[in-house]
Amino acid sequence: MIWKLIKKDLLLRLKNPTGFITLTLLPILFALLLGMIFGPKSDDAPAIQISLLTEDHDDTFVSEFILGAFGRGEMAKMFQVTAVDSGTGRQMMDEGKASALLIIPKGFGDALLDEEQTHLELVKNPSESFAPKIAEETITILAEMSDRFVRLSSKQIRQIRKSIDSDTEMSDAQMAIMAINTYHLIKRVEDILFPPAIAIETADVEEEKDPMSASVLYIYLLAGISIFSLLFMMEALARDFFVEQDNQTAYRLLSGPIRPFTYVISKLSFIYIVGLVSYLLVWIIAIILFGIRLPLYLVPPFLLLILVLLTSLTGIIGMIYSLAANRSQASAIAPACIIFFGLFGGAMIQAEQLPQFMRPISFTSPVYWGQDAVKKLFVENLGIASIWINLAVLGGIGLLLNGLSFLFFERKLRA
Amino acid sequence: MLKITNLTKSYGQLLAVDHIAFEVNEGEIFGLLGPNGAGKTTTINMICSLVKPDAGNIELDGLDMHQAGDTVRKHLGVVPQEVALYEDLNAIENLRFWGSLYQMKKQELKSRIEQLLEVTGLTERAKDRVKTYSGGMKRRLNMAVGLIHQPKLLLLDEPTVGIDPQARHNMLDTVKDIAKEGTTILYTTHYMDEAEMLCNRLAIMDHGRILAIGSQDEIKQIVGENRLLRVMGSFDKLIAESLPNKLKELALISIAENEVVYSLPVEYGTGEFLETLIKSGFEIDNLSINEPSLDSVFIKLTGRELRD
Repeated sequence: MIWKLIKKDLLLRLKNPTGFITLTLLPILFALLLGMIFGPKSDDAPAIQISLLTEDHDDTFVSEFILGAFGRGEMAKMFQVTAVDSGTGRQMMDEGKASALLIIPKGFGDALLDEEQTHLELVKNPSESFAPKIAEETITILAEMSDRFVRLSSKQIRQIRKSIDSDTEMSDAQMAIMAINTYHLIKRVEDILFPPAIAIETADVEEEKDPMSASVLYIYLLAGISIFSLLFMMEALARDFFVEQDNQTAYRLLSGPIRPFTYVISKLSFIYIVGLVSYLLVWIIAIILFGIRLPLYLVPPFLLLILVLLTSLTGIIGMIYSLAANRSQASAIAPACIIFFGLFGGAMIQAEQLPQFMRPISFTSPVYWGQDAVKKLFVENLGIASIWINLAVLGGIGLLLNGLSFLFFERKLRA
Repeated sequence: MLKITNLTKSYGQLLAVDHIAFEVNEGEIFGLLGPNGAGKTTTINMICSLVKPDAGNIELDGLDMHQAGDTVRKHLGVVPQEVALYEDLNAIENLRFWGSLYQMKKQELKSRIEQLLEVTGLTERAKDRVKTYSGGMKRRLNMAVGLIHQPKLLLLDEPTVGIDPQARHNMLDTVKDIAKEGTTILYTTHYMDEAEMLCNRLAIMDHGRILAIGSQDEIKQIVGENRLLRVMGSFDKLIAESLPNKLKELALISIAENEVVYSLPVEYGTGEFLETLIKSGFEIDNLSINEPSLDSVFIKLTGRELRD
């Protein structure tokens, strides 16, 4: 019988889906908004990625040295390099598909080895400001590094070229001497070239759980605001008590096979179920979209917390509506109560930041106990043992208020 | 079928229903006739256990409401004074929901819905939302909902209040049709003509008490073949009280400051009566003559008209 009444309530709501969906989405909208404003962002993603096109007309080890530099280490994260055919690069630049186009002209390598004047061509995308500038600076540094290296090792390079040009093989003795000279050369310049003059030292330190890091802040805010908005949503659903009373359908139900207890439990169950679905969606969104993490072993305690929390919130709403004499009285009392519970429960200001004399009031609010338990699970990753008190208090509030609202409703409906 | 004994309910100092007793027989339309505040709705609410009586018993087919309330309620169909429907649902959805509460089987419910839509003339609009219906259509659907589970006893609580004459006429026809199909009806109203048109037997209620009970003929016997003459104006109260001495056939029914009611057999003309009034110093503002009817019974029993 209870299920038939719940189905009817759902059918009625779905007859006017816009209002119902908007109402149900209220906590979810808050979750999305908070996530977009305060949600954590991935630390691995580069701040900026530069799309660089390359046309290599030279095709020597010098040009390969320059282009290869873009594919190593931090440069690989910063640059997305695409090799293009002659002419294609210009066309893509005209279409604004890249930040810059690097053209290495034919004979660039030879000119560099002959210590003759040569150049690299860089076409920049005028619609972008920072990325082409970074590409330009990087290529200038690479060009200078290539120039310095070629000058320093010119003797060895010439010897290799001579051997290639004359098509004669070097003897083992010549190879050994050149290898030793090259080794000494590298030893002399390694302080300058390998590693670079400015070394970037990286160190992994243990992440300290800053109470106000982005994800923690998001969880803090979400835990409070979602419960707070859930109360408003559930309150709007509870107005059905008076709607059914005013349009006499409650009278008709109760004069038929429905007992007051069945009627009240169906109404509160409907509020509970819709609230539950909405609240679950809030956390699913937070987990999927904003990277909030909960270890698998904490999922069952979290689900238990949600069930108990929703019981207490339903109790509050039931209590308000069972005591209100009419619809306008309920509409006046309910928001005041919700704001009270939200404010002192820490939905708007953290309960710890409330003045000392107000702190004890927080303990009367399910928002406080719910929010506190969420923090313990999501932020501190503490187990179920840490939230037993929260569960007990929320369960106690739920049992007490739901029990009382059944009594008051029964009395009211019989009157 | 329905047996009410010694039923009493008070709200604080107000005795809303005062030790009433009546029986409704199977297949009849039994009327509870009385003005607003007579206790009709309180009686209905006690029958369907919405209101707990202070004293008395309600039995349906020998089942006591106190002991077998749930079973008794399943055999009752209630049509409240106001339209009690889900206006965002259509007629079929409303009937299906209300029927489902009585554990009706799917096929049985489907055919019953079709039958009721036919009886109430709503087949054409069955899939439209109720909020688009006229007042009369809503009333008919309201009644159909009360009948969905084929109750043994249908409680109709002033079903024609606030509807236009044509819709009212249709409604009364529908009630007659339902009664013809064998449903027992307890019908409350404050319209004499409805009671006269519909009810096999009736009880006249006022101030929580039943003043008269029986068939229409039996009740009309209370006034006999007498007209009721209601005189409004200024007069000497002692003279008014002594008037039956001057005109032997005249009987005093009630007297108030500016109003006096007499009864006079129909075979006597009213001319002599008027002459006597004028000679006795009556300054008449208004005079109404009621032929023998339920209305005149009510006046005889209460000293006032039902609409007062």
